[in-house]
Amino acid sequence: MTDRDDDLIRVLAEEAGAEEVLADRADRRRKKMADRRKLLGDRAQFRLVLISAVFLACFGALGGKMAILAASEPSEPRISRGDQTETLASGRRAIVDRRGRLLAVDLPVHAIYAHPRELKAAGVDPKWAAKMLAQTIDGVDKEEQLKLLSKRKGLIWVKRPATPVERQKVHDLGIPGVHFGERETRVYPAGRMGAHILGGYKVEEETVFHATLAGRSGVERALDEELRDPHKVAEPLALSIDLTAQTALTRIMDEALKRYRAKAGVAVLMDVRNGEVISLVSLPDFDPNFRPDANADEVKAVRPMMNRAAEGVFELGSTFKLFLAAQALDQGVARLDTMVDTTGPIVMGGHKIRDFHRMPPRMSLRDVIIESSNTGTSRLALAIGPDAQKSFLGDLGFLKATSLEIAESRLGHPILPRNWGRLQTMTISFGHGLAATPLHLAAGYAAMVNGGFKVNPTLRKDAPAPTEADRVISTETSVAMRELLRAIVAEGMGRKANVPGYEVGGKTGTADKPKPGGYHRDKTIGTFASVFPTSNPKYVLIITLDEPVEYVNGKALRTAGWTAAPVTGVAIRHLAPILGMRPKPEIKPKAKNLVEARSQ
Amino acid sequence: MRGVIYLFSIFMVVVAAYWSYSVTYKTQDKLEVAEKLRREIGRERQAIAVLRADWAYLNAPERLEMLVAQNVSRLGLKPMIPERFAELYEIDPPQPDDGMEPVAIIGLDDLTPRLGASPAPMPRPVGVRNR
Repeated sequence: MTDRDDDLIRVLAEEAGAEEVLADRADRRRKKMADRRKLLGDRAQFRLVLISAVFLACFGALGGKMAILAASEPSEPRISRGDQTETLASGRRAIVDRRGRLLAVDLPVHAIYAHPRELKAAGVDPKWAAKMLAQTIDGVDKEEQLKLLSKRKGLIWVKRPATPVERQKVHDLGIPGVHFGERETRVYPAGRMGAHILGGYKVEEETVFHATLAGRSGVERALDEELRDPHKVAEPLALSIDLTAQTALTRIMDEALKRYRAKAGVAVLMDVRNGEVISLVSLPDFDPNFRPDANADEVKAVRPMMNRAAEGVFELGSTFKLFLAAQALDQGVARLDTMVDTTGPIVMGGHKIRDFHRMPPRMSLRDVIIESSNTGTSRLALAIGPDAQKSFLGDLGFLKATSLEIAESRLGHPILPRNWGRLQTMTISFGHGLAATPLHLAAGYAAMVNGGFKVNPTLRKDAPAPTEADRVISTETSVAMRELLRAIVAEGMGRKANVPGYEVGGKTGTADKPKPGGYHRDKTIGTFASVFPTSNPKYVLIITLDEPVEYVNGKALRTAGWTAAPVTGVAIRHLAPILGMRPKPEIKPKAKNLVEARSQ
Repeated sequence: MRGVIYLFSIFMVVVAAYWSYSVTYKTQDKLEVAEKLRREIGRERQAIAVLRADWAYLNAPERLEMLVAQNVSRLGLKPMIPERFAELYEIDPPQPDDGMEPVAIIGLDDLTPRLGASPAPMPRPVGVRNR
């Protein structure tokens, strides 16, 4: 309907009602227009909303991406490995000593491998390839290589790990089908120094492109997770070990083993304040870079991989007498001047307890310890009682394995008597019937002299000091123990351990080696537990020799006073200056009093 | 009028497209550079690790002991025992023996400039009076 139609109607039908029809039509038309306008308006609004939504979404995405970029951390440096790129974080943390010297570190090396099929496809004679490879690299056997290269399929390892020089040489041969893979190997620059502490590694899973290293023993295994932590890969793990002290102590123990014809030797140097192990030597030892084959007969006979300090349990002999004295003093059973019956032998349950040499029938507790009387400590132990003794030794950590951070420490579980009765109480008082590791002894002696706090042996640098909750004996008792130990070295059986200027204190301990059904008569374990300087103890040094013997005028002497004690003297003489300790000028007691001085 | 607007918006779209393309490629270039740098850092770090290991190996206790033993006549190094204990400040610095006489000994006091003939009087500490 157009306007012309309307005009036509108006002209043609000049009759009544036409106006009405027209009005009606106009009305309808207006309505229709309004409807249409509304429809268009709605559509436009919808489009606007749609467009703004799309824009909003786009800008939102951009903004979000920008926020992510702004908040993201810079990614790790990468190194290329063969065909694929991998982050450097796959490495293992280095291990350093307390002064930051490297003890263990990852080194990039190569693995040389070959695909026999490719070799064949390239028309290379396996004989020639095997000959060339055997000529070029040490440790590659021609016959074996030939056998491998003649195989039909698969992948064969030529050498792993191979040094960069070896890689280059093989590369220069240009044999098709021989490839190189990136590897990491672990090296121990200090060689055999600290070998037992560090332990070793093994290759856990290996592909052509990479190999994962895992701890096998020692710290490497005990702290494996920490060493693998990718977030800390750049910061080395610091141990409490001092490499210089470790080297000096290893050297001294080498000499001691030769000099006293001992089969094995252990030395533990520990900080008395917090149980940090400064050095730990176990001989015979090994080089972790060339780990010996544990199944070889000559290796089995010597067992160089055994950490005798942490997993070797021995009866530690009279060194235990100090614990008895401390407990007797601390619990008020006796004082240092209390007279103790030392007549012997004591017969109990078919066993005879006797003293090593003749002693007066009654001695003060002080002399019982200095002269190392078995009968005296046995009687005092009975006065203390089995339960109290057991709980005291438990407080010192003698009833369970140490918590040192090496894999072997849990193997060093003490051997306790099955039935802790009166007889056992007596024998344990002088160090028989309870076998523990030298580390246990070191921690026990640290607690005796550091003011009375139990310490846990640890290899972590900056270990926390014990608190009042770790107290095992009173400060007074601890001071008395220092003086007692000093007296043993100054005037008792430990004289050979004395070093002028360092106020050495210590206790000897000689234990007969057990054999099935009894004890050897001519095989001993000599232990000397020492502390220096006694006026303000800083270090405890335990030295144990397995089957030592010293000949004096053709007579074989096997007691610790003749073997482990002089070794301790030499060790402290060398270690103390290394540890930065200045010798104290010693004031020689010239005269006891003025009257004596005048009369001279 | 409408045509102008259309032309303008087409122009703007072209400009925006060009800009976004160029930014995209620039970003990709930069990413490549960053990746290259990361690899380089990785390589350098690895080189540092190797050098550190080498240094540690050259300073390994057993090697040093061997060198000390070999050069005992030249160096005269001996084990550190209590009788030889001294702090660094207690030792005279070694004089290099280059075969020449010392030219002059200069006192530190001579080097400080002085005002006039007599040295300047020290300022008196505050609160201290002559008695």
